[in-house]
Amino acid sequence: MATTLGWIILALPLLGCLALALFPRHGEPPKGPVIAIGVGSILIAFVLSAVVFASMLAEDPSERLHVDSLYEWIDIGGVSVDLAIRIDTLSMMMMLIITGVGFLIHLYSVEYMDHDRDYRRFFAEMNFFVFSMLLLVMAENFVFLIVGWGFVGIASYLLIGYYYQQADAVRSAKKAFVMNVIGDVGMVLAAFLLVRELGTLDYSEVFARAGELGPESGTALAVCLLLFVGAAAKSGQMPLHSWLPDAMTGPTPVSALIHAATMVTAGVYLIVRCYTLFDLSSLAGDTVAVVGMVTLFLAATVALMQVDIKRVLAWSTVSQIGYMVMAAGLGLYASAMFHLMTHAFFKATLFLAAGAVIHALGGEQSLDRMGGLRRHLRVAYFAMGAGCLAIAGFPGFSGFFSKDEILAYSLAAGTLGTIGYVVGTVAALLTAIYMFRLLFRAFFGPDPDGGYAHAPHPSRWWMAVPLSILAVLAVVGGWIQVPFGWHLIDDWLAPALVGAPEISPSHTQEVVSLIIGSIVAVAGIAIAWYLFGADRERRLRLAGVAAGPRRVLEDGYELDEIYDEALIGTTRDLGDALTRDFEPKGAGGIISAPVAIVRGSARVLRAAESGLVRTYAFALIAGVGAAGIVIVLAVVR
Amino acid sequence: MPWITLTILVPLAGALLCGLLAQSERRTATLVALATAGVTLVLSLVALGLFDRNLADLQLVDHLDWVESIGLAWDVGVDGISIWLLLLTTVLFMVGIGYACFRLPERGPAFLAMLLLAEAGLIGLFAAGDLVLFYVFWEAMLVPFAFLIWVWGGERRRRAGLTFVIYTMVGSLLMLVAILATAFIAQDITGQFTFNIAELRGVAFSETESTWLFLGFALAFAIKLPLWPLHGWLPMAYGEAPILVTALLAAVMSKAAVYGMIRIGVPVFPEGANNLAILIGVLAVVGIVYGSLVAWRARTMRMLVAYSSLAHLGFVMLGIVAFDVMAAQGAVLQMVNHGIIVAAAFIIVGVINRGTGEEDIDRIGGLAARAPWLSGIFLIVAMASLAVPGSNAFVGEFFILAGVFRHHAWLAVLACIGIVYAAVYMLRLYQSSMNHEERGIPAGRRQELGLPDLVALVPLVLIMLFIALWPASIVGGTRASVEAAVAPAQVAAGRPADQILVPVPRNPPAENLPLPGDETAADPATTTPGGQP
Amino acid sequence: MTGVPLAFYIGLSAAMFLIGMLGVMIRRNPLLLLLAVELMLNSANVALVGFSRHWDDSAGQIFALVVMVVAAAEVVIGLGLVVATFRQRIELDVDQLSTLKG
Repeated sequence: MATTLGWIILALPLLGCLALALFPRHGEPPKGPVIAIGVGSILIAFVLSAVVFASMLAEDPSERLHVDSLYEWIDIGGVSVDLAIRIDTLSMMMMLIITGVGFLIHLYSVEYMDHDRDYRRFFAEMNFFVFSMLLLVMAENFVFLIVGWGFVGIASYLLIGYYYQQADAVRSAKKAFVMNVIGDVGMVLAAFLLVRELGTLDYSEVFARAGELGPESGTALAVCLLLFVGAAAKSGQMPLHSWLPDAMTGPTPVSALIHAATMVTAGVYLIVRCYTLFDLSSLAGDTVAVVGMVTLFLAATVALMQVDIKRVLAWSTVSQIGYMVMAAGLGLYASAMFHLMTHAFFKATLFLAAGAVIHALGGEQSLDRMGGLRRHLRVAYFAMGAGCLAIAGFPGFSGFFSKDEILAYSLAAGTLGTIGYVVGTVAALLTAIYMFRLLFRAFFGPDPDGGYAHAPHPSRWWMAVPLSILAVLAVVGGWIQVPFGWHLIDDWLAPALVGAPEISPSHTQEVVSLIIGSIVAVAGIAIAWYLFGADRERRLRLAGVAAGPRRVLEDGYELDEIYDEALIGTTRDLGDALTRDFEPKGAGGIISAPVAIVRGSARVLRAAESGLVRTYAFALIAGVGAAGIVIVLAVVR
Repeated sequence: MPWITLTILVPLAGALLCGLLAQSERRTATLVALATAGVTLVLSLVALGLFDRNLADLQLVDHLDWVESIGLAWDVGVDGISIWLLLLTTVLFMVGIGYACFRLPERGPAFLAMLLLAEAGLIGLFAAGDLVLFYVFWEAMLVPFAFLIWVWGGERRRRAGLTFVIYTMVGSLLMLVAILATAFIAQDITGQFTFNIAELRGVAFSETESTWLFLGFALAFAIKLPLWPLHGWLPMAYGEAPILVTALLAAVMSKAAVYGMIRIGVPVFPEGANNLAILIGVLAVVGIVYGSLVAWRARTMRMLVAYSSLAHLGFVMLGIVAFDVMAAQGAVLQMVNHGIIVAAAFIIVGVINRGTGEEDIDRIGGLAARAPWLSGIFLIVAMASLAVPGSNAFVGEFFILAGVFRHHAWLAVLACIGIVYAAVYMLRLYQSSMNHEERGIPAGRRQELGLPDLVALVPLVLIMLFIALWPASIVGGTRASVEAAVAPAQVAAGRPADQILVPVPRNPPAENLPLPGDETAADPATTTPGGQP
Repeated sequence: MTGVPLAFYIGLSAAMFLIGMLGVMIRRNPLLLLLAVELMLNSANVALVGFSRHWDDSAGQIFALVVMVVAAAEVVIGLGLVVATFRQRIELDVDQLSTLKG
């Protein structure tokens, strides 16, 4: 039953997308049916996911694994791949997040995209995204994982470039797509290695026989690192992160769903899904953890300096996923998934609240032209507040539990884990500062100089209701896993993480981490209040301090410039040089040689073709005569 | 019924009929051409229906002795490789001729006659079971294509047509020499004079002979493909031919080369192929990277797609010279994929050129708002062309590279550079024409796809989706033939026995040859006295 | 074996061939050109018949018949071309008919 419903859940968003894309009507169809199809398909998918979840709850934990194959997709060179889905506790959790958060964001979009010309295209592409993401998490083999991986890339490309008339949207879309293709190549190469070593791509078989790769072997390391290239590209980890902040050119609901709550966490899902492989190679796990640490720290510093409200959130997403990646690299798979879930709630809340602000201000995104919005947009204010408290790890809010879990467990995960704890704690302080900087600058203080060009108008219920629900989730979402209390996430994921290393902190570590975490959160909020809330002039007075490093931070360590120069520029020049020089002379030269020989010899020989019959006759007779003389001479001799 | 012979003769007859019509009888000519292409398509579908996927050898063979004394015969049939190319040809020519009928150029009946002639030549080539027949059709299809460029091409059509003819002739003359040499040398070895490809398989050429003979064939194939750096004719011919002809050149004619490689080059001369495999593989990879880079910087849309074709065919060639069943099956699938995709891409480029009167990529933009259907279908085609996971081309490239990776990991890794650049150049093509602010769009012209365009493109897109959803439908049919085709080369390359899935034919039989490691136990009846304890 | 000796046949044949050859080389009228070619063919026929008699083998005579048929066919085409050219009101001079010049 579970898998049948699973196929339906997978099919619904696809059908929604097709129905919207092929809507048999010239021009823009009426909004009613578009909303019904676009939002309805996701709602039904969510309800069905909940049903499957309920049925799985009723099952014995060891039986919570359902695999079903629809048909044999290909059988080639000894490798057989089925179109198959896998519903286990891990994919179930992802399905609930995708369809649940996805539904709320679809609902929100009904109002947010109200003014847009291509209403139907938006929902078609969003539905396509949900389908792709579900395929990614429900796939039972690496091929369809990669297919889902590629499809979410297309959806992300389309939605980043949704406003395709704007040059920067087009550019960001291309950048996102190409960087994700780099990630795809990593995944594909990992799959090649698996094909070569194990001759199969099915999860069940790969994980069952992963030991054949050899613990700590080079192959296992290569597989894991290549998979991680894909994960890093998708999840915006250094150095493949730079597309994610640029991806904010898409509509805000897109940023909330794809570039915060679901798609960008696919890398974390991938590592958790392949934990058997990562457990084979401690070096790979360590690399992942280090990349996560570097990312979470650097991204947090960059987020401090961003002026665009969405870019603050984008860099914070990079940073938060850094936490998850670090946790996954350290082997804290359940903690990573827990943070993935709470992050989906609070980051979606933050983005949607930011969206409410942007919508209310008619597209304004700069913090410099915001202020005092607390008085105009009550719902957005409360939601943003809840989200900020959650991400800052304020005690009792969801982020507190999940981030603390990662940090506390890191303490128990060896030396690298301890380093991770320190880095993560410092970054947590930065997180509290930059998030409350955003809150204080946008919602507190007086209105900006010259007032608002577009008078802020509060949102209607289409936007307010999903925002409120998500805000509530951002508050209470962490309560399902409480230290010294209960561990529902751990218990739920246990059947999908059989054999993963058991890392758990001692009571002292747990308590220390809880206390330090609370202090850090409060301190960060206090610093932000000191800098940005209490006295609005203080920020401007400090503006001249350390202008150089600040600019570096604003530009995200200027990695984009480096890429432009080093990678894109050189190969573009190479391409131009080849087109200009080699193509006409080199390739053209090879070809012109035989052509010139043929043409030249023809030019010489054409003299013989005089067109005069008598000349031909004479030549004929002369030829025969010559031949005759030769023969006679030969005979005589 | 001699189905395959009919499939060759019907378009030939149609071509003669069209050729005999006066140039004013355009309507009759279109009817004749459409009916011919339709009947041919149906015949090829019948052949598919009769086709047995479990057989490796040529099936549905029509054999007719012609000049027995010198081993010439009419020997046509299909195997698990050629049946798909046969279908590709008939489908694409159906689409192409249908498309041509809507917008018939000057001297329309002659144009259609040439198209049908080309179709007959290509079908004959894919069905030929005999080297001489293969050569005849190889040259025969050159003629109509040359005329199509020469008469109906662009400004520099004369030069392009001449270059195309001379350059490919150079290659094919080498092939003719190689064909004759093959037959004579094989006669010395086996005592039997034949041009039959199946009988030539397994002939124990010495390594030197095998290498030289393979080289003769390989050069012809490399020029036709084209393999880097022998691609000089490609930009000229693709640039000057009418866009429909360019589409067919890239989609179908280029397959002749890779088909020849997997049908003749690799199975008949395994040792030679093995000696040159790495070289060809490297050239293919260079072609992939080179083609991608040049496509990225191309000035016109048509050149971009033309160079992308160079890159994509590099993948196919790479898959064949890896001597791996998976890679070769992927390569066969990719031949079909590339044919469908590149045809669709050229048709779309043609639509954009017509709608804007502009060939330069950078001078137009923002078509998506004017032409949503065009932009939607273009997006699908572009995504398929850059082999995004989930597209039909992804299946092909994935398994080609997975197979190549098993033996030459470094070649596969280098080829992956091409995948990244494919994204770069296809997005350049798509975004610069469809996205951005509107520019370079003349008023009063229709940019959206018309009915003829839809009639041509929708079937192609549906085929792409079908293959993406169920690649086993094609791949399953290629297994037996591909296994038999690569097995000799796998033996020559010294691959472990568990990878070689079918017994390798030997001609003369193995026991007559003093080969080291010859397993006499395999056939005790023929062991020489005293050979066994 | 009585009758005309072989040498006479050969002599006649050689004479006819020379006349025909000179005709082809000297005359410019295509009609006369055709006549000259015909003369050369028939010189070959004379030689064939002569040898046939000499060796008492009918193959030569059969060969001569074949040559006649071929010659007839050739003349048909040749005359057809001449008439077609004449219809176009082009002067009947092979030196002028040189459009095939390379």
